[in-house]
Amino acid sequence: MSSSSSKQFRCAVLSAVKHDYVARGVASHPQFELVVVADDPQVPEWAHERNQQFADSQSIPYVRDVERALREFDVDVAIVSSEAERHCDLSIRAAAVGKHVIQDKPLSTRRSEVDRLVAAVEQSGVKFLMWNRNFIPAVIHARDQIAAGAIGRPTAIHADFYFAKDAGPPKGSRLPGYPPLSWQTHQIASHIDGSDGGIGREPMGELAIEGIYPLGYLQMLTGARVQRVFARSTAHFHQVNADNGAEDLASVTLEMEGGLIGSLAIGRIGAASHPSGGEIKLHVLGSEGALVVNEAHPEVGIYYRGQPAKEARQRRVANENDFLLADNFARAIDTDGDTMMDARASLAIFATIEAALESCRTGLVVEVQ
Amino acid sequence: MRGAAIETSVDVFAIRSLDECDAVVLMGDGACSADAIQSLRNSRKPVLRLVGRKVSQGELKTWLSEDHAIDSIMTWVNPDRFLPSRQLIRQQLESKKLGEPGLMRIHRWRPSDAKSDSDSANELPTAMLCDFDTALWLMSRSPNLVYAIESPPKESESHAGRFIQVHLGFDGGGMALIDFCDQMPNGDHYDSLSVIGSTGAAYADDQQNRQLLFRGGTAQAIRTNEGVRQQVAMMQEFVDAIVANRDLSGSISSWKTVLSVADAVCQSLATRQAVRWEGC
Repeated sequence: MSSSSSKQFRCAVLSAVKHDYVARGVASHPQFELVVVADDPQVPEWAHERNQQFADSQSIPYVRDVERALREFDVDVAIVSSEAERHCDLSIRAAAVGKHVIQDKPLSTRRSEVDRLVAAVEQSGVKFLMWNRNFIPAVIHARDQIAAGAIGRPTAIHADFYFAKDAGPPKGSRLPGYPPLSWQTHQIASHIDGSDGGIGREPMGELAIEGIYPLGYLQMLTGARVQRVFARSTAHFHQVNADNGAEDLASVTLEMEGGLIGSLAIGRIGAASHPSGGEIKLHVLGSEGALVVNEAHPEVGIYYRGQPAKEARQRRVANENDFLLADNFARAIDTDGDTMMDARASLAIFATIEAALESCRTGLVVEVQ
Repeated sequence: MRGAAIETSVDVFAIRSLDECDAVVLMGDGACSADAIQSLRNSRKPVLRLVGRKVSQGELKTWLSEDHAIDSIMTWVNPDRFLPSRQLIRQQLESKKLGEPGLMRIHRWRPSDAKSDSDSANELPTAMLCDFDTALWLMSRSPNLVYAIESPPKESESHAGRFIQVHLGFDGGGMALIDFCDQMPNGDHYDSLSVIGSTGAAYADDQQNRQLLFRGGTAQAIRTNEGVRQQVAMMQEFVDAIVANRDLSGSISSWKTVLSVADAVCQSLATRQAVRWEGC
């Protein structure tokens, strides 16, 4: 844990149109202070409204000029939480003027942007953190068990990452003659319940939106690069996904360095399909044993008369992921060390997802580039 | 049992007279001598046989061909289908409560001391054949794309064995991930099955179904087994089919499908590429 005498980092929030949990999570750490919200002047009015709302909630100004905010507010860190297609551009612009970057997932919608980001971060020497879930208690527990040799050398690793959430009307509900659902319109409307992870003009499936989380687990727990993938996907649950060619259910076989085999099952499977928000599990086989981890633990069951149907019955406790991520970032800056998920690590995950999507399209095994 | 009385024996030839029986059930791990099988075929009695760990992929293929050729009334069953958990999931799928099955995942992990003598490095473990059958039975269709991968052999390590992962794609977007391991340390095994459907999901998982035992040191997690209902359900369905005069030979065609999928898996393992499955 960083000491109280460590430097305080002033943060500019570059767009808060998606979840604001990244900015709030960073601000939960005493070394980080949100000082301004900023965005480009040409973003749509709904984006300006959200940015202003978040700025007001933090009692900080909202500036419709990213460069001016980075220049005039004595900023050390940029926190990027825009639509996915603008992630890299905002991060690159911040890195270009020497600001460290914390970026929301997904990394980007385009490989060319990812490559530009990695180059910009490495050239500028700033620290970069892709927001992730690697400090969730059960994941840390798995890491510690594996590191202690409890199961020997990992030989196979599997992640189930299901969000039991709805995403609009169910597949098959659109009546004949009605137009396809607009991806962006749906995502804008989903902001109210926080399920707008795919917000933007470009439709994205669950592999692109959420894949970084379970693949981040596999990356951290094994340290192994993914070399080849075979994947299948489908729009199985939601009309907006079916109408926009974006999968909401996918499975991936991963061939990793050192003969390690992995798999990923991921989806936004509908609120009815799990009692507490989704099944997220890790199965790890090793040369000396095996580990089965429920990522939600520790949790407490809360039930009461009149409880709203959408309220989670199982509540996670002792989850310090946000604070620990921020702390990890602060330490990386203080000591010139590595962040939990830097630009190169994020690129590796992006490349895996890119290959998986190609495999879904072609039905072939794809090398990860 | 409803509609039947049972006489048990450890030896097929010790049954007082096959003429006195209406049907025969071969329980256990599937092992049975060729003489015993021929005697049963000659009796023309319906016979229920389990695809157990002593039945290799090659033996199953041979026996099914012979049964088919002589119009035998031997019924082959995957005993896993009759586990109460699997029966419940099947019922929920048939009633459409879970919607269309989208993604099925099976983990089957065994200790290295559970390896069967019939397991051959050139064939798939029999347990995987049962898992393929379970997947096709719950998905209610056959795959159109098969991809498989196996861990490179590590004989030098403490618990030599195999790890095989199979990835199936189905028409209409369904998919299944099935992995098998017999490299675990001697002792307990682990089984997990989940089915994600378009309107619901089912999770049958050893982790959830374990009880804790404290005897000093780290607590042990003891599996709560599914009892004897598996055997009862298996035999009851057999009896019901005989009484209703249902065609018992259908199992041969479904196992032929499973074996054809297994052949595609072996082809994928050899080529390291996905294989289109066109049918038997």
